Amino acid sequence: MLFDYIVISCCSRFREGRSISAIYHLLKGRRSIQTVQDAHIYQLKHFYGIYPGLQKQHFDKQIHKLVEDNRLVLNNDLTAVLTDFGQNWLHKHRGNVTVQYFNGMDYYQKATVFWERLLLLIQTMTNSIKHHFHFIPVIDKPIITSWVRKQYHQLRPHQTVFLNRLYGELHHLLQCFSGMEANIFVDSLTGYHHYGMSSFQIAYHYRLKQIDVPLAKTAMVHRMLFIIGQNEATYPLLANFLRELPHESRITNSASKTKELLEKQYSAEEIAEARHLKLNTIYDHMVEIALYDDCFPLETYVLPDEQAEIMAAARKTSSYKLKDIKQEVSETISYFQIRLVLAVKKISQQGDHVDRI
Amino acid sequence: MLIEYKLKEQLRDQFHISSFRPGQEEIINDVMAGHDVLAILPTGSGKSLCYQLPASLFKGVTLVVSPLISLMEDQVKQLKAIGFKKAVALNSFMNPREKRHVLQQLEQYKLIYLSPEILQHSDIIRRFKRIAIDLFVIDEAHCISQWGHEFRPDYLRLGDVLKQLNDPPVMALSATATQEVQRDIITSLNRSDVVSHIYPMDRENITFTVKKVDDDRQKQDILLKLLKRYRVPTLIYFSSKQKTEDIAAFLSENLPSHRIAFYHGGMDQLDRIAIQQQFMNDQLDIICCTSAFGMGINKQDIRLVLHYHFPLQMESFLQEIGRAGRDGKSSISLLMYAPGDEALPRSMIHHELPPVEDLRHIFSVLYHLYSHNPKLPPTDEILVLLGINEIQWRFLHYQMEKHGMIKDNRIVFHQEDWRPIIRDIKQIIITRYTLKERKLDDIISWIHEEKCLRDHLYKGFQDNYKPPLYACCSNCGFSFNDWEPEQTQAGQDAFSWETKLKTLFFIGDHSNETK
Repeated sequence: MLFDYIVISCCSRFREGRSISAIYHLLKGRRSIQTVQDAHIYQLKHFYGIYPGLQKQHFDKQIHKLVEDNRLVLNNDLTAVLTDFGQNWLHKHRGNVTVQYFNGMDYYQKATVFWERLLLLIQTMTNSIKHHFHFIPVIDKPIITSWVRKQYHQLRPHQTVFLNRLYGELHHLLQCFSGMEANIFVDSLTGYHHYGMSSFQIAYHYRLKQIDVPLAKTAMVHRMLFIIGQNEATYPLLANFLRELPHESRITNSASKTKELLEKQYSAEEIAEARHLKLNTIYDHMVEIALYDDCFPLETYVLPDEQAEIMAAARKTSSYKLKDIKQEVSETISYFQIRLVLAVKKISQQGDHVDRI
Repeated sequence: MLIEYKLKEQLRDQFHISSFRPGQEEIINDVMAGHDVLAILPTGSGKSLCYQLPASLFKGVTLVVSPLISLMEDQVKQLKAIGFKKAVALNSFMNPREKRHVLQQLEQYKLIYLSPEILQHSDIIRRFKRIAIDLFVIDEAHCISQWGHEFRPDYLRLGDVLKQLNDPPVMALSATATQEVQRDIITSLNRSDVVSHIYPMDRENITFTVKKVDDDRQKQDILLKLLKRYRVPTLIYFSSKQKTEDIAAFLSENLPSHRIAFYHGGMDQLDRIAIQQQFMNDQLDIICCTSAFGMGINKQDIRLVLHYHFPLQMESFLQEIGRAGRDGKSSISLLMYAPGDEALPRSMIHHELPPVEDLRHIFSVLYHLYSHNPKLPPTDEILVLLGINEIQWRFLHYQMEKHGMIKDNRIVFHQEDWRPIIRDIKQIIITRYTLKERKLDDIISWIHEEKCLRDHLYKGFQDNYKPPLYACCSNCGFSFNDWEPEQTQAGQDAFSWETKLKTLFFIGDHSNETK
């Protein structure tokens, strides 16, 4: 249900402008310019990166079902459109509360970190208070375990107080959810001599589709992050789970090397030469950097007048195709400059070779 | 005396175990004395301790070759859980950064688990050459043997690896090895002075039963009837992942009081750990699983091991039923058979070897590749080009390398050589087929045995076996009417989330204030 709703609403936004796989990339949170720009231009930011564990085969199977149910029609170019039935179905479920919890673009990285830290710290503290230290941790990612270890050493002298308070905050927070949601959340937790339910078990127990379970959990976590963010004073311990977030760069490794060199004031040409890469590759990196970096010094590469000219052309053509825009602007403005402006302004470019990264 | 004291102390402090189980001490003493050791110990007798304890005392590193990544990861997790942190699993599926990190500080570890495949990388060998290796362990050593049940070409190359690593002391471990296999292991490692510790693996507290039925429906009826009557820790083995899910759903539907889950290698790691640990903690009654479940699981009170499908050979069967009744109490193995059940294992055999009838075609594609560029393309491309799966390609690659058709990842072509070699390889494949078919026939003939099942089961593996403690087998007059194991008490699951949250955090429970 949740998954179907999300896919169908993506289709209704994309219309025939994007293929089905763009939805897959959006939900997985693919770090490409194309996907991020899709999220912005089609107003699907809230769905970005909400299903990192989604498998292609499950996605395909579910799409196939939607086509079989006559809610979607697939075109030859793998774009999809809603049938009338699909349109009605979408309308009927418009009020779905859970979907409104999602805030992917803001939370897609935080949500996983928050959830995994919470799971592991609860397991650690509840076992430690029972003097049981030989348990198999539910999370074994070093980036999570090292944080939990640090917390554990600080909290150890006050375990009972900590557990009581954390219980209080969770209890308070879970009041904001439906009974079933709260149940799913609590059933997923692991403690002393008690392991949380797997997603299969939750699906079975609550009569959900397996594919919906991770989404339902993520939706709740997003909602929690929002509530905690609004009321840090009410949830001091939970707010602490969101501090010292691992610094994860959103750009590719190669691009981040380019970024380092740019920051040392090397020019694109010099970087290309030093790294034995084509100038165009460096340009691709710079567009990628511009997309994610809010402080990208656009003026260094495109004068304000030129920016205005490019924006005007983009609006005029409304196709956002690079070629069309290029024809509308002065000859001195390059493709690279156009791409930079579009990246900074978060406007999607269609076609052309932007999907390379 | 000093050594003995030291071993016991380490056993207690590091492994939290008060005394050795039969066989462990003798084996460990030989390992500590630097001997090459072959140890055949039944499942559940604490095989891993035989190298883990020495490894924790050795100055240098102990390498453990293990066939399954999930198995290595389980072992490392369990070691870390008891505070043995200097253990790591090294395999081809690690991300490059992690791998580099581990490789840069190999000396930091006491125990390194690795796959036989990764030992084929020359850069890895180079790194291991630089450190002191005190012990080289080959777990599931029957994989070395062509008679073993999981023939893996890279296991055969371990003899070479040992030479390259300057011949460290070796320990070969297995739970099930016939005499043929034992001989094969010793020969292929080229260690004639090996000290053998062979322990009988018959289980005197397990009763064997075979139930012949007409079809799948009847199997499901029997499952229902049996499990309705007995709520005890139960494993049900299947050959297909899908079927574990289907039957788990079917049983859940019809046995609302039981807690049931499925388990197979296609699940993600977090879910697999959750199911394993729930079963260990008595949060689950029944697990529908493939052979992926069980290794590294040490639950004492599994009462029933059922086979919905039968495995490809006796050795696997023995390993699977060996998980029952480790506490010594009466436990039952039940294998269900319906006419036509042979089809599934036969088709599985065909997935494990390159198809003989396509061999000509396969080699002509390889020749074609060679004439373009002798360098082999990446594996996933090869699989598509040749139309075979990864297991089949692994086999073929090994044979081609052995016969000089592949060298340094390049195809070597000599017209006069290829024809006879292809004939040889074809013959080897046919021999392997015959062997696998024979193994399959063995288990089928056991299923159809009309005399004692226990006698038939063990006589291929050892000279003698202990008389059964409880009923012997379905052919010696066992009936479920006489079986009354202790049952699991009904749990109460239908609490509100608030109660569950309170329980989890011990709210209102004043017995655990910190001291």
